[in-house]
Amino acid sequence: MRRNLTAGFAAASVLLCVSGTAVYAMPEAAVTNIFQTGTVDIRLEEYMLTEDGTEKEWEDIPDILPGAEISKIPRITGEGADCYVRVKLTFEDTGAVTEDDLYGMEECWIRAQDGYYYLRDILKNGESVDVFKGIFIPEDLPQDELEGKSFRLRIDADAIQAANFTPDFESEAPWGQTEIKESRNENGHDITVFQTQERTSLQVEYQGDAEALTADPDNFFKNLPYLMPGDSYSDNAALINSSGKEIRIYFRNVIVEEDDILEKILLTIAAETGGEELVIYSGPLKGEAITDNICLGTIPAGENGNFRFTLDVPAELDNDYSLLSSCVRWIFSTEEIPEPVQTVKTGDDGLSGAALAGLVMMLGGAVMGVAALLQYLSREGIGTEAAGRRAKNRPYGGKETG
Amino acid sequence: MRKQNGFAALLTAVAVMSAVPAGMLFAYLTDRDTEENAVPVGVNTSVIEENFTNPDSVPDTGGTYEKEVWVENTESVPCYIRAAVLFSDGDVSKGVDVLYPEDTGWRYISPEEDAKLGGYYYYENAVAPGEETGLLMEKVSFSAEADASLMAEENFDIYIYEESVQQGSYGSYAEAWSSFLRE
Repeated sequence: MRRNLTAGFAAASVLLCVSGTAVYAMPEAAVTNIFQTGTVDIRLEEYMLTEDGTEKEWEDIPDILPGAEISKIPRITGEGADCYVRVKLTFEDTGAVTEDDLYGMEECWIRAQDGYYYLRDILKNGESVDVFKGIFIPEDLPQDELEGKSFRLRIDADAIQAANFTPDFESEAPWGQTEIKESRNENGHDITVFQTQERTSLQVEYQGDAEALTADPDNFFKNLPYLMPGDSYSDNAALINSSGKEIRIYFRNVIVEEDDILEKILLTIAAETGGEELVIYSGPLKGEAITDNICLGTIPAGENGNFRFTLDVPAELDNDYSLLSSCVRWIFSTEEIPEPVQTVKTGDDGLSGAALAGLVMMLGGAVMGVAALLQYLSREGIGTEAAGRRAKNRPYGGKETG
Repeated sequence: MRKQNGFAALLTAVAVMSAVPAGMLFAYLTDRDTEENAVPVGVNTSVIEENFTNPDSVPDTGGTYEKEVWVENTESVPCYIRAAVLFSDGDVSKGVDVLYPEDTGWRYISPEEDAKLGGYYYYENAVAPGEETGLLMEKVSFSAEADASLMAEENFDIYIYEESVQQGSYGSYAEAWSSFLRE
């Protein structure tokens, strides 16, 4: 009987120690969140009308004459994010032909004191706007100065993102001192890929019957448009407990990319469980500080919580960060809370509840192991007066005779 | 609690940053595109061409000399051309006849006919770059009935003066010259 009891204690010890380790093998669900920054891209082209009124691409005119009317249509097309545009018109090597000789400029263009013509309206992706329709060459063009020579007309078209930017059309310089750079993505991009359509609901669900944790969709940035400097975007994922037991839910980040943009964009995570919302994390999207499991909270059986994240794109990002794509991977995990319910301080970066439960069980296993050892020692009489008398009566290596 | 206050501060900062007015030093995404056109100005130049050999002396009355005169458009734009024929000595002209061939494209308008255009020979068609007019004159003859005293001078000159104006959008030489002379 004693041997059976000893064996039982030993077995329980092993089982508890093994069970204490098995707490970390929790159901998990992973999402890989892909995002892309936007770009501003415009295309300036020139057209002209033929004698029958048909529009065609601009062809250089071999000669212009005083009094001539030249059909010339500079056209700007938006090929990136929605933007504001402006143009500067410069006549070089002549003072006889000026901006006043242009015709067909719509009222949507306003001339500011800085010399630019600003388009009041936002130029959306795929839209075009004409700058003017043509030039009247003055009849009194000075023959002595220009005959046989050329003058130049230069058209500079600038664009700036419309998101998070508001020109001041009443000022001398509506765009302020913003530096204009060429887009580094002139060809081969389709910004409409990241134009969101219908919003997709996000959720993480624990199904107790299958003891499985699922996340849908597998990309929590699915509703994200392309990100522009100054953008702040938030979304929510429902934390659903479909089981019959209270659960504890965890979150951690897995670094899959080392892109610099992940250091620039800020991420804030807040979790609401049991009616209480707490900020879990606020820092770079790369998430180096949240690669270990963080407890989001506990969700009673059949109830829901909420996981909210916010991305903030710094306004100082420039063209160097345009049309960049990267991703982060988030892992959700969960465990059922055995009764009695242990309250664990949520958001504790130290010992998690699962780890504490495992430690308790391991200690329990150790206690059982000690009990088994004492039981064995007691049976053998080792360390007791009776054990000493038996050893005195037992020949060396022989059986007890007393 | 401290985390919540920190989050609120972050939200406030984001709200402020999102409403940035122009003029603050933020980067933004931008682009630029440029078109530059050279606009050549046309050249309108015409020159008088002639086929004539100066005689050694004023010929006896009744003599005839070949003098072919025409005008060439040497530059880049089509133009209308007119010319005037003048003598260095008005008295000499009374004894000298210039033969203007017919059907060569020239038409004389007298001052009586048109006060503004009169006094010139007008080439009725626009002359393309590199092209020539028909003959303005063909021969010079000396009248047999001319007073010999009129030929007292050993030499005299026949001046040919020509002008050209761009054809442009004008539909006729009269329209082009009327517009030009109006200016």
